[in-house]
Amino acid sequence: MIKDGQGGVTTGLEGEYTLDGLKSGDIIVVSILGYETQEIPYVGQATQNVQLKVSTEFLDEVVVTALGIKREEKALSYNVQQVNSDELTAVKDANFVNSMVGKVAGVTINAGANGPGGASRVVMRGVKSITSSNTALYVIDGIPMFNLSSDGNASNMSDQPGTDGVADINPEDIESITMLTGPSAAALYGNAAAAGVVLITTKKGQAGKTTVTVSNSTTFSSVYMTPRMQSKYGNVAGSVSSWGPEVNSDFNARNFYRTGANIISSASLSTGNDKNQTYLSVSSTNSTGTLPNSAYNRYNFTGRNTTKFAKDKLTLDLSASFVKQNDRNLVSQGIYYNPLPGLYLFPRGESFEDIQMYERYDAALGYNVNYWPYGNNNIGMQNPYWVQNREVRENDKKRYMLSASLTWNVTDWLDVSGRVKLDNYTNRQTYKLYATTDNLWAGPNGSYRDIWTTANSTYADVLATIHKTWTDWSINANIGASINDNVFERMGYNGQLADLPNFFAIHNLDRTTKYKPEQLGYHDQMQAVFYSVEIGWKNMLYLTTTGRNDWDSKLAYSNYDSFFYPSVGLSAVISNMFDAPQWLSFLKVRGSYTEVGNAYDRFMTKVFYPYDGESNSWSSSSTYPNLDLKPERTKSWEVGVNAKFLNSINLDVTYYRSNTFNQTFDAPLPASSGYTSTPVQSGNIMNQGVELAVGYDNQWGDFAFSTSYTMTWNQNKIISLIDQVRNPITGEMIQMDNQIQKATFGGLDARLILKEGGSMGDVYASHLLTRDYNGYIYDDPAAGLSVSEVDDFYLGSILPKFNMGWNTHFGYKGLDVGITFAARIGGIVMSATESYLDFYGVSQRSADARDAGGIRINQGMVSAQEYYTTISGNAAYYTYDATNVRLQELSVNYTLPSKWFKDKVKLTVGFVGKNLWMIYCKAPFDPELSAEVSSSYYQGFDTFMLPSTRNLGFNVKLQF
Amino acid sequence: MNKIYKNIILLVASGVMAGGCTEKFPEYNTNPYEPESLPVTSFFPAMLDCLASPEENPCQRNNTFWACHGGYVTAPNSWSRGTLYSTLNIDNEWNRWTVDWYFTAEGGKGLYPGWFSVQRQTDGEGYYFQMAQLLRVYVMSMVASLQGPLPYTAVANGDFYVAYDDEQTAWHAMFDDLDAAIAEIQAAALSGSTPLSSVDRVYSGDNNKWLKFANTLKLRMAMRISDVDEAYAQQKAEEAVAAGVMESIDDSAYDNLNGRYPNGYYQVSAGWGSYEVKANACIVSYMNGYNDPRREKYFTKYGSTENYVGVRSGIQGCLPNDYRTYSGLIYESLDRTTPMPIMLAAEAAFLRAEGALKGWNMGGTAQHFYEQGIRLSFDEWGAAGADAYIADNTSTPGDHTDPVVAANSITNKSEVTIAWDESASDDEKLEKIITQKWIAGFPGSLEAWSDFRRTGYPYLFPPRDNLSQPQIDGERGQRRLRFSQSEYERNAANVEAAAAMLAGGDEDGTELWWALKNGEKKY
Repeated sequence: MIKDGQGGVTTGLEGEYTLDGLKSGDIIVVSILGYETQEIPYVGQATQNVQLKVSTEFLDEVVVTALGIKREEKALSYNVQQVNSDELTAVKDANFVNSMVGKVAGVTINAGANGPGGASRVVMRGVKSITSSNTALYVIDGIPMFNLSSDGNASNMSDQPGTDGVADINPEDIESITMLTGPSAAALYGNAAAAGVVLITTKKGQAGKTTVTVSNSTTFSSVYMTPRMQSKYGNVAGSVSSWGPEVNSDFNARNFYRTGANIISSASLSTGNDKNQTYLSVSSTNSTGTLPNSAYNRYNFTGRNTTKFAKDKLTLDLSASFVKQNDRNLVSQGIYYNPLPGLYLFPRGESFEDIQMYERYDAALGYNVNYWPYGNNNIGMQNPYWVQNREVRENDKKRYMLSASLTWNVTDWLDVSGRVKLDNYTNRQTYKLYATTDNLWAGPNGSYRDIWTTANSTYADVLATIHKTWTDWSINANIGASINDNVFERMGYNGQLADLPNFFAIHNLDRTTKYKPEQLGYHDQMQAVFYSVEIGWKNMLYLTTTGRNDWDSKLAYSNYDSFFYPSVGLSAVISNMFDAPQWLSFLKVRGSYTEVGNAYDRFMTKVFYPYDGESNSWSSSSTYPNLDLKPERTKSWEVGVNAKFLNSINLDVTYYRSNTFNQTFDAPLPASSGYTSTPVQSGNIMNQGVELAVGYDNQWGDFAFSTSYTMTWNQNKIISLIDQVRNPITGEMIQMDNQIQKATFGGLDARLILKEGGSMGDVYASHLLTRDYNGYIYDDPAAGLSVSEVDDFYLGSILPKFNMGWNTHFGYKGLDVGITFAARIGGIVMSATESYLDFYGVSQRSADARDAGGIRINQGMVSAQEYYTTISGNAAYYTYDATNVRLQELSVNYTLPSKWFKDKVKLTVGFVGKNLWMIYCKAPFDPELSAEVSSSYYQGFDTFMLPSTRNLGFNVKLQF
Repeated sequence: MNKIYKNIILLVASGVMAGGCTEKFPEYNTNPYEPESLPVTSFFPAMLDCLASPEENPCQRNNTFWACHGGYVTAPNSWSRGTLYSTLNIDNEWNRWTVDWYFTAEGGKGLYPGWFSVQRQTDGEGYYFQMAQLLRVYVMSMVASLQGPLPYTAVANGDFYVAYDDEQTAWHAMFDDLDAAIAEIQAAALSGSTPLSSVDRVYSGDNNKWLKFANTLKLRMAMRISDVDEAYAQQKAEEAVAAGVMESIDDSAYDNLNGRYPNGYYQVSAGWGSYEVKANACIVSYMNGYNDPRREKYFTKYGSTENYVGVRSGIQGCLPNDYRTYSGLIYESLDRTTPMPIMLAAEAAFLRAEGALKGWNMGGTAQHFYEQGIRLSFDEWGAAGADAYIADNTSTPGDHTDPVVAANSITNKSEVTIAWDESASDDEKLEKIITQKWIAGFPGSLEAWSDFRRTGYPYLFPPRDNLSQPQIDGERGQRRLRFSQSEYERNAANVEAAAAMLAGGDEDGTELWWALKNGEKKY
């Protein structure tokens, strides 16, 4: 630009520029983010090449923030963390989310237990909402993605969970990920972002060169941390439990598992010139799980084109992607459709080889019948091979996403852009349970489920961006409006087969019993206008305010049309305020305050009569209606420091606190009122914590070294729960017990109960071994040991206190070694699996006790059987410290010297490992696995959960 | 420049306009697949569920858990836990399930969600409301027989904190409501209209049958309180008989299911494949001793033998598969559409026999109704040989010998014979009546347990493992269900007042108003 003149030009990608209207004596000002500004006097030169020096005064790192707006990091008043694509693709996972474990602060990531491709759980800055999702919002290129996965109604009798929308993304298409952990960062996205945002920026074509990248990643996985089980003692004939004589069986449950393979192949093409860039990619992900006949497959096709036209005033960005994904027999946990109960509890005196012949031909019936003589014993014991081969559960999903954005560079200080994105998918879920499957799940001729789900999500926005700089002042403002429209439909049939055995068709469903047609759907729409204004002073002080007003269709019929919420933040670059010493490269302090409004659930403002699928009839509701609802609100603030020393050490630390008020939840009513619950709006859930990231990054000649440590501390506290709530009709104050039970853990007596002063992860139990008046365990001469119900006692919290990660890279010439350690400190996990193993006498413990002649109680011995069948089912004896430290990832990549290929080709080969070494863990299973990722409460619990896997493999990446 | 500003203003304005365009929101926020109103008849199916509890999970809780105290059934499963009804140490977690469910449960189940809807739509009057009242009295008389004091007279839609009535107040209020319902049903029966025919799974809307049902219920309720409220009970019982109780097996009440649910007993055993309910060794031993022809109608045979062997109740730490081959309820071998009994005609006859023994005007002698009850029961189940059975004056109840686990075996203390003996003492006659009423009442466990608590008959086997703390006499067994824990959590003041109404406090061993007192035992 010309100093003191109006307008200016932006250079092309190669840095070329043309300035018109120059007069001699004008000063050309050349500036670019991250470099020192230069002023060059115009003396008539036709060409002026400028070599800019990297700014040493401050770091102008540019990050992608809400709505895809690129901002200078120094101006941000909240914490953002960026993860680049290398970190995601070094050790590839079928779900890229799992590759972020240990690399970002303020985020807890738990992989789903159901193996490759399964949904993952991402919680930022603690759980806040009592009833709605606490998992982060995903935003792709500025546009929110509605990550619909099953709701969190989890139990040990749930269906096996599947995958989700995020897992569909091809990690090779990702340019970078920005984690916006706090609501301040996310305020522009509205309430969907109250739990934080994972902002994904995808790749575009590069101008000026054509690159083809072909890569393959193949990893093999094997189970680890399986329960310790015995095969020394068998069962008494006729009994299922293994409390019988020594048999020294060679049964080993681990032999059931196989080595899983995860093969990801992808190819991409990037090409373009100044005006037009294109990016194309294809990728296939084929995973076979550790269970027989389980698989996850995904095929991604993506194309993107960016064009400039109308004298470069307009930029059109078009992209399309198509995803085809299917999975078969994914298993997470529980006693439904799970081979593990039958496998683990298999009576040790019997022949497992017989079981391996899981079906036998029945001449009278004319088809193969299930072989399993041991019953299900109400805990889902089935022939494990039958479960995987003749109870076939499949999903088949097709998804396409189309997006278009048009940016109009109106003047040098004003851009206007409009974007539209469609994201549609159809999923077909089928269950084919063959005839003679256990009666609990199937009819005599088999059972069939066929359910179609479609989701159509449309997002559109317009955004005006104004940025103007004066000598001391700068302004950066966005004003926009958006519409977000989501239509979801689910319908299908579920039932037992009628006349034709093993013929899986709707017309063969028996409509007289256990027939469940399903239909549900909704249409939500949210419209919003929002603004964000950032005022900068002398590159050292930035004040930002945002505001958003939401019109949400969920509020229809209520007394509220819309709700508004603001945020304000201040960022001060201290190192620019005085002549900072050489060692202090950069220092910024920041603070922000945000309020986020939230609508309650849809269909709450009128009374509807639900359909009861069990009895196939309309029913009245057992919820007492409360139609007088108002939007909820979360208020939060954070302060932080970002610093860089000696240009190589950086420190980011943030303290945050958020309070969520007036949440809408069902408060339980006494049954004698005739209702189970009524919606109330009350409560104050606080989360406070610290996010810390410390890094060191340096290079000495050919040797590069970088290391970073992240730490998250979060405290969740229920300040108030049911407080000052009135009966919506009578107006009388509701004086209910100030606690809500949110989860039970089937198989154990543990219950997750919210209480004032507690946290949203507190688990209580209520049974202990009976004690006599002296406090000794009571061994009744007649009845022996027993357990007694006692007042609820606190077992612990399923929430972690700290999460830590340590990520290190060594580079030497083409060699790169990456190591990531991850740790979680605090909290508990529980295992119903161990309880069942004890009860059935198959735990190693139970054999050791038998070898030792029993268990010593007081002065005497109690038989192992009596002891373990008595304590079983009582969480007090099956609770473990969740603290664990592990080697999360290890990668060794070598880029072959390009001169070998005459500089035409870049070839990288690598060896990768994941979850290689559990350094410290006292729990009998991997405490970081999530049984049901969408639930806020059914976590840290193992009921025949699929064991964690250790993964080893190699990568090849070819670029030319 | 002006043009640019204009453009900005236009843009922002259009954004705001977009934000204001919300006229479709009411449509979006209306559930497309759930209606906003329902006809009054559609609330009856869920209320009818409360009679026989046909749905699998309620059936397991209401017909197989505490039901072991009736001597018909037992659940050979410990669910890997140490606190069960059968071992007399049930914990709060499971205890709360039964009674809470009768009031209300998720998904509009239980009595009150439907009852309130009917009350609201009828303004609390007319035939529909009185039919809902009849069902309410039936269900709440069950609750009163389970726990004693209960919220009844104070229940009102939208009142979250309901006071409990003492037992006498509650029973009298139920009689009042029942009398009002009977009057309305009588009128409907005369008019011949059948407004509930499409939803009535019991009598297809036949009000003559509902009338007999209501009067039999009234007779049952009168008998329940007959030892503590004698004059009132006699009056109510005589009114009921005069108005007409069940007399033929056509009058018997069954939940015919009509495809709403599979038979709950079938589900809990064969339906789930886990066989979590089995025949109780107690009734099987009695019927073995009597060589009762109804055995093959009630039970499956033991393994591949021709014998009937039940499972002893109260075995700590047992697994269903270990008792898989023992005699089960006949439902495990029948079609899953088999109707579930609610109240059988034989009960009315035995009630009249007992009333006659008390000297009430029941329209016949004790012996007449005693023998009629046995005959009705044989007819009901299609069993032959009632005459020979009635004449048998030698057979006595059998012992239980477990063919596998010796510790489960037990000697039967009862020596009561079948044939009526007019010269016997009233106590012996009462034992005969209650013993045969008990056998005929299969599988209705609540009446069996209530009669046992009221009369001390029949002799019921104590649990093999009595883990009660403090100790309950195993032969007297559990005397009531404790109030639900959820009431202590959410309706504390009222439930604590109710606990104070009970002489022994809110304990499993506390006697109800109408039960035998002071540890009295007949054996």
